[in-house]
Amino acid sequence: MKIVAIDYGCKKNILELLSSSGFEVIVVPCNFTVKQIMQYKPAGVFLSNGPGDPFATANHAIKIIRDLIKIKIPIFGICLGHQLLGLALNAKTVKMHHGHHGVNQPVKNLNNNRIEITSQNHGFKIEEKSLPSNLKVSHYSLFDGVIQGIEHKKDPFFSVQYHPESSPGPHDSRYLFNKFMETIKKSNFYAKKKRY
Amino acid sequence: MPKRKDIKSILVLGAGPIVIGQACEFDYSGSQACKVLKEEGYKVILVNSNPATIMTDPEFADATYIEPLTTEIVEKIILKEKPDALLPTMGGQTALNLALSLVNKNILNKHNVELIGASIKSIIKAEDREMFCKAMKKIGLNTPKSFQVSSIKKGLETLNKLELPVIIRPSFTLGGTGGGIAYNVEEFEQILSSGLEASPENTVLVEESVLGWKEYEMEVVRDKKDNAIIVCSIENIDPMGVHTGDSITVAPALTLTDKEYQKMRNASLSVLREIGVETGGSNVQFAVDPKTGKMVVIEMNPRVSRSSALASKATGFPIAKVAARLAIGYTLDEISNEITAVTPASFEPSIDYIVTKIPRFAFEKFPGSNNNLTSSMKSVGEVMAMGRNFQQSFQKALRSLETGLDGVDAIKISDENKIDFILSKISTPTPDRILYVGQAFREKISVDEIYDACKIDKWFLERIKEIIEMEISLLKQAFPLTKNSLLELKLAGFSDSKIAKILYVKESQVYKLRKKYNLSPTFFKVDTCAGEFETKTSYLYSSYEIPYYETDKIVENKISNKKKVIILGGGPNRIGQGIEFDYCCVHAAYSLSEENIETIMINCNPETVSTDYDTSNKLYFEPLTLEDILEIVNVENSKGRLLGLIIQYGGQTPLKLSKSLEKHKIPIIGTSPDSIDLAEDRERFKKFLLKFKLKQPNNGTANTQIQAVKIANKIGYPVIVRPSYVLGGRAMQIVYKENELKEYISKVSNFFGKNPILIDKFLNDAVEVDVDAISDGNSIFIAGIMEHIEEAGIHSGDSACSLPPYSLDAETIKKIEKQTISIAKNLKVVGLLNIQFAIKKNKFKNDIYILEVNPRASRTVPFVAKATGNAIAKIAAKCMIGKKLKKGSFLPWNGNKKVAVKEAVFPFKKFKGVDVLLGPEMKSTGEVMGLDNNFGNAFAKSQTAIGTSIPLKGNIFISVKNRDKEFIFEICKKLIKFGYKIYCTKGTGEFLKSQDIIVSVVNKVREGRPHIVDMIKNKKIDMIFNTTEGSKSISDSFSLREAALLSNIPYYTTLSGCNAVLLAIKKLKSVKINIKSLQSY
Repeated sequence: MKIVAIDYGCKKNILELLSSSGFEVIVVPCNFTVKQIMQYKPAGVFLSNGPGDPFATANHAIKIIRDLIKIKIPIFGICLGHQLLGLALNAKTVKMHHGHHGVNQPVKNLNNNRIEITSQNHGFKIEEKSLPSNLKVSHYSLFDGVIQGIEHKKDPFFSVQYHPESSPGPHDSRYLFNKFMETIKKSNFYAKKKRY
Repeated sequence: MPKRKDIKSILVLGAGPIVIGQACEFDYSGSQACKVLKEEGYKVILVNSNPATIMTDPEFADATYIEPLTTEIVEKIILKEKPDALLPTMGGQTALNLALSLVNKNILNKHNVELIGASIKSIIKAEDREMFCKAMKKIGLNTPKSFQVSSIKKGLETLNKLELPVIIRPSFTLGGTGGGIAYNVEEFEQILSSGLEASPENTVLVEESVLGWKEYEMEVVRDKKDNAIIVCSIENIDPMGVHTGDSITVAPALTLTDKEYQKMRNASLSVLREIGVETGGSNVQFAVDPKTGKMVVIEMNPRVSRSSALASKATGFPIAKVAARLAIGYTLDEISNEITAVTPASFEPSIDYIVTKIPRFAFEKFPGSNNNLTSSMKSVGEVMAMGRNFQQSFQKALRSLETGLDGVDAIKISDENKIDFILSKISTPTPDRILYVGQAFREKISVDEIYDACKIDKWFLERIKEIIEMEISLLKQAFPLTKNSLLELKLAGFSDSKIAKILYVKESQVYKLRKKYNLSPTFFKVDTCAGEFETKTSYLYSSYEIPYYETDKIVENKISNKKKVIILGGGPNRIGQGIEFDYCCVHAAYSLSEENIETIMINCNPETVSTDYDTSNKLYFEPLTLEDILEIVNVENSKGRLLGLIIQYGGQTPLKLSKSLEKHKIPIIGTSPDSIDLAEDRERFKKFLLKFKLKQPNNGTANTQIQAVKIANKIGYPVIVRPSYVLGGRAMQIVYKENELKEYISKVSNFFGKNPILIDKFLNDAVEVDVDAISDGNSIFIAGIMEHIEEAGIHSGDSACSLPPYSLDAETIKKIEKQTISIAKNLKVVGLLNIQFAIKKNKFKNDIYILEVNPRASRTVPFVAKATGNAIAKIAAKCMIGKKLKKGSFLPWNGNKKVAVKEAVFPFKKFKGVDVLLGPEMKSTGEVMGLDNNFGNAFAKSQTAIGTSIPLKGNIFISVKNRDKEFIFEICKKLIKFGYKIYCTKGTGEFLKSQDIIVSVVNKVREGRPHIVDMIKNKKIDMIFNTTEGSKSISDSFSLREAALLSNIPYYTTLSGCNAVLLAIKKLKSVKINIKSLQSY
């Protein structure tokens, strides 16, 4: 399964886990247009982690992500990728009073009500009250309630604020890479692509 | 999911007496559990036979049963209290095994009691080795190759499939009792047979040895929604082969990469899932091959364990409390982290410091025992220390031990070939191995060579090497040191006393220099989150640190403006100083909080309730040495008003410090150091007694052998001898002849150096009496008078005793009370006081002798409190802050209808080849209490509680010393009337036959087979009465007592013990055993 990963400062272990989950990963620079991205005929797009204020980064990135959203290609984001996905879907990001740093951060997964111990390193967050109605919270921090994951209610877009690939760090959330695979396989985009 | 509403009352099983492998950590977890369950509104019913526990304080449960932990008794309690549920995971292996037999006997089903905290399926899956190995295989984890066997023959067959050395692990035992490591076939057979004997199921696991592999433990908590977290990882410095309870351990694991750690973390979570632990804490042990990184699962405990207690103290995460909440239906995200109060319990604690645990041993108490450490646990206590680096943590732990170490101290080696000698010492694990590692570096042996000999990970070896290198370079420096070099030493954990020792200066000089340079430790919080969240609890440790030190003042330690009292704890558990003293310290904290005084605890024992962060207002987890205490006093004194230190509750540990504390002008509340000295100093004390016309056995103090012989001749044999300033009767002995005395003195002079030898007239056949009393300085309250069942000469800690006395007349008791009051007054006692009397019964008048006066809390304080219903440690603590005793506010000590019998528990099974005879040196590790409305039943219960039920029929073997023969006659007559058959040796038999008593004679061991030991092994004997004296007959009858011990046959080695048994038999034959809760007396 071929996907494109947009590199905002991507961690190597994410790529390794994507590829060990069965993806063929093409890494592209963050200024690639949708046209350039789609040349690779990916089944999904991954939005990587990265440094900085997401709102500032979004100046450049958001246009591209919105174009991807338009064609409903499955998208998975981690950390900065999560914040950018949120911004592209009209949520807001804000700077936190004190950020989350460490490998012992508990997160609640609202899809199955289970706790994941996660690695986190972020100073910005998606503001909950800004969340548009087509998005839902999938994970939140048990420390302070900060959004740790979002999902689009209809379309195949989801992202997490924490680092499921953590190394060092716990492996509780490695399932997300498989989830990306399943999301792609279930998507209309993939069905259409297969038809051609 | 919120807590369960379908259950209203919960029966909690305690762990029973303190034994090796199961110490007061289960009081800590049990009392936490009771506290939580009560808070949540459940009716708590508790059963535990150990009166010295905090959990058996009447406030901790709605109905507290101090009763034997047997299925019969628990069924009676169930019938009476009708609990909805039973929680067996807080009382160690004892409680778990008891729960298993309750299930097997269908008692829980029959009475509709639900097992909570662990399912029977998961308990069996974890404890049954074969099932466990299968389960591990299923989830793709390796276990050492092993075979379960239940006979010697089958066991020997396994040697075709496994290579020696192999490990033998008996099923369902605690602390690996009966197991061990066999290097050859002979050892194999020996350990196999003791292992089969020790296992209640008579099965053992013969296991491939992974000796030398690195050993780890993971503390895991899982809830019913499959949320699971790792509370703490623990690494054993001693590699596989040493029981983890006997290993030096550190937390967190220090020599794993993150990849290895996560692999272990994932494996631990899968183990819990597969075993099915759904509502509580567990511990999973791993071994890792240092060469290949291959990981195997060693075992898991589906309950709160010793390591859970350690993990709780190491991280601040209260595992037992959380486990108790999970057991009643909560999930991890619903429970809050008490320390931060704002975050949930479902997170993994961060540790920004290093924790070291070192076990404390008692081999010196069991001469003849081998001090090699194996897979069978032998330590009797432990200490924990924290520091910002390994060296501080490690050296702090060493000096916390109170074994005279100031750090990694040097060992004198007289052997000519030093290097070989050291390497041989390092290759066998013993309590001193780590010191020999240090010595090896002093002798310039390389890290590689040391590693090859001991397999201790090189990371730890390097750190120890650094310590020794600093020590060597310090030798070259002159005093006073520069500020920088002093700081560097402190950063590596060198204590003032250690530096002083190396430089041949006084400790106080180093202290003064440090003050001059303004070098003091910083106090940090144990807060589960490494400072991420603000926390209100004050659980602290000290550490030296740069660069923070210079800028200082990260002030994690908030000093209050309140009135405060510092309570000095008892340090590591050891024989002679255990849970009883911790009980007292905890009560001091509870009591003074009631008076709105800020309570500050200092202690270094992770097993205890006193080191629970919510026992006192502030907890300093620190060694009980002068340096550490001074630093705490200095910071606490900077604000508020420090009323003083309580030093009379922590046993000998703080008491020893009284003079040096006084020198530093540190206020001590309660009895003054001078009065303490008066009671300890023989000459002063002698004059004191003379002045107040009180009697003492004739005695003298000798500095030389010649003097000793002279004194002994003057006062007449037998005499009781001991070195001065010892606890628990260390090296105390009764001597009958001059040559024995000479032998004794040459033996102890090696041990005790210049301490003089104390010689007392030994009072044959006297009754010993213990008295506890409270004084406020003016009025005195007699808290309890106990009569020992064993006669004088048996250490009071080892002797069974009865409250109230069962054979003393009212007049004698009156006199004892009067003398107690006189001593308390004239000694100016404020607080607790314990006096030991010996009563020599005469035809017309009893003579009362004073053996010992201890102006401090004694071992019997919790027993007296439970037996009388007066919280005497609390009351006495209030006296120390100036409150007066109020007449009529206590229950009279002998006014209630109950009789309480204390019985001691011994660790002889752990020390092969050691005689079980009791003497003046204390050997017991713990105690139980039998409670009933008469002496006979109470005594019977106490025997059941220590696991030796008095048989109501069968064969009794009797062999007594000459002096006892005339008394045994009456005993035998009664036994025959009760329907027992009597077996004797020739001597006793002939005497009894001449008195027309029908007995069968059996051979002594040296008279040829079949002899008495054969009979015991064939289970033909149900009880043994054996009194003996003189070294020859003692060694003659040794194998008899050993056989009795191994076959678990009740044996009594004193005449008074035999008489007590008779009283018990009489009652047992006529009255049914009754149970009654403390609250209903």
